[in-house]
Amino acid sequence: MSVVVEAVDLRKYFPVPRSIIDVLLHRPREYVRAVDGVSFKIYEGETLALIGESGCGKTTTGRLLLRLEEPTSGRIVFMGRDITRLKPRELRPLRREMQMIFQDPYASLNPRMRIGDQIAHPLLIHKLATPREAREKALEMLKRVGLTPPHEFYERYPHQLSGGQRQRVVIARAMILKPRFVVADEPVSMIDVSMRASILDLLESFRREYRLSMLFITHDISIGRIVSDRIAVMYLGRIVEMGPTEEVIRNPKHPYTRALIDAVPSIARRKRGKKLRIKGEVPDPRSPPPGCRFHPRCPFATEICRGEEPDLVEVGRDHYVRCFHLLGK
Amino acid sequence: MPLLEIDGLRIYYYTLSGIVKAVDNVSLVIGENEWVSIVGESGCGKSTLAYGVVRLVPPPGRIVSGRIMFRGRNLLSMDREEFRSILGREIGMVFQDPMTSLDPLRRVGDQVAEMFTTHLGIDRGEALEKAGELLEVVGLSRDYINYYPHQLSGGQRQRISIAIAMSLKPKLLIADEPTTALDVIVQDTIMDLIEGFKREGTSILFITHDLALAAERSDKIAVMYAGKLVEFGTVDQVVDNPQHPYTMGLLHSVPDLWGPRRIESIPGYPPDLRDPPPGCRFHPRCRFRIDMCSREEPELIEVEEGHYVACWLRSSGGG
Repeated sequence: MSVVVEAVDLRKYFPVPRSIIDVLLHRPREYVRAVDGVSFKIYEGETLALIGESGCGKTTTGRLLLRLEEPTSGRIVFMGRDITRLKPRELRPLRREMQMIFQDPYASLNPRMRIGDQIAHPLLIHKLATPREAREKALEMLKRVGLTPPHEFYERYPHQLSGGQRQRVVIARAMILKPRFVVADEPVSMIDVSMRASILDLLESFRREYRLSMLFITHDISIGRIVSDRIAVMYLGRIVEMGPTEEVIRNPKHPYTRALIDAVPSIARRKRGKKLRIKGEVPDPRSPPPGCRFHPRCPFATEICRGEEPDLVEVGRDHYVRCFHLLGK
Repeated sequence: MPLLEIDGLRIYYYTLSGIVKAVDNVSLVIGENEWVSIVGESGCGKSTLAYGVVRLVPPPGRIVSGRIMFRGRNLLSMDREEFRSILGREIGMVFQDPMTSLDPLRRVGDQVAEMFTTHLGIDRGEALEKAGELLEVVGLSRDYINYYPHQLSGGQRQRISIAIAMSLKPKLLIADEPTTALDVIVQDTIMDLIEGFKREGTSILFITHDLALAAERSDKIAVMYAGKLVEFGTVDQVVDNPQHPYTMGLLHSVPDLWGPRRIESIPGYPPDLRDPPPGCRFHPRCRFRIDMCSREEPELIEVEEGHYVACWLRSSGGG
């Protein structure tokens, strides 16, 4: 299988705004290390779920891949080509191939534009169709995403749609260019539970039809499980565990992954007893702890965890973990 | 005598574009030391119901009819003074956004201590001492009394608002989506905290959109749809033997790490509550509907002991 997107040791440090006093006292500039050495590949037709709590760097990672954010260091390789330093003009033809779907469907639509025109818009921008053809294609797309009758929906404005319908518009707009790669950032978090499955099914049908590769960003590992082939778990800017979805969930090796899984409420196992509970909250990303970043909260931490940072090593077939004390050994 | 008995409650919003029947003839009972969760999707009226119990329905909403009996007294017919003596002292409330109840300009210790100075009439020093003890109970160190809310994380703020709500050991804690804005690990610890208070005798009325979260911690679950209570029973009754098609649909739409790797949506969309469909409000989305469903509204009936459902399939005899 061919690799569509590759992140190589990606880093993004955001400078923390300094007050006038900090400047006068020559205090050193501080950085939030949002993404701190992240590497992975996504293959053709594959979905990688990127899981983590707020502030772990998952959204920034997605934005870096699409060059919506400039990396501090590292490389992004798309379809075999290094796109890390491409200029905006050189990026433009690639924009067709890479799309993003955001969490809030309302914020990502133009409130004053008819939804049909918004779906047709990318075709016109990239000069791929005449206005008449674009309209036809947008109508087809409306039908495809279940907004029927399409002629009626074409004329509507975002405020006339429900949250679920708006997210269908966002997906239609992203898919009309037949991209190779999509970053979906929490695409169902703001959708009511009873309608989530239909949005996920829609994404899945496009994935099959276009052999689409997808980075699916979510805080909810139970959603991640449904949509993905592989899962990567992020903590404080680093991937701590990555592997085939069911393998990671059934056989987590990193204590953080295990704690994350145990904390997810479950109906099937609602009476389960022992959970792995961890202490405290995610530390300040301006000054991540030395050694393993998880050690202050880890029930298994020992001396080595405080002094040294573990590497991401392969512990099973395609299963990588960054921990000195693998679970279940 | 049950602790709280909601009887025929109707809460409507009088908007310019019509009357929204957010809570429409809902009855519900919460016993002593019982955890009842109200589960439903956005706009089903679950939060409005919770606000109704503490008489905090925001305008243009109004409680139109019904009774809310708390330990035998109707909260809705009390005068302001009498009600204020109950709110805070006997009923505590926690909201989704802790900043709704915290003052950003005052130290959290003073805010917790205020409950003691106002309601118990003790002096500030003693009250701060008690506030410090309470912060330890909710899993923060005593030093946090000197912090301002903005210096805390979302989870820590929620601990403070729970501390305030529980400061006077109320008989009932109403929690409206208290963990929705929090990460899952923090959510779990906040749920542990609430469960701890329940073990000490407090009843919980928990509002959530997350059926799995409710199923893990509650004694009973009430499912709401479009302003109506459609099913009510113990957790096992509702999730193992659901009787209402909406509950069944909801169960299939919730991803479960330990369940099948597939979820299904409920087709269609919830109705506009200014103009709800006639008969059963769920009938346009229901795959089991019969003629009756669009004509007449089903009543809540008891299908087994303590398990209630409002559905014609269960009411019309054969079932």
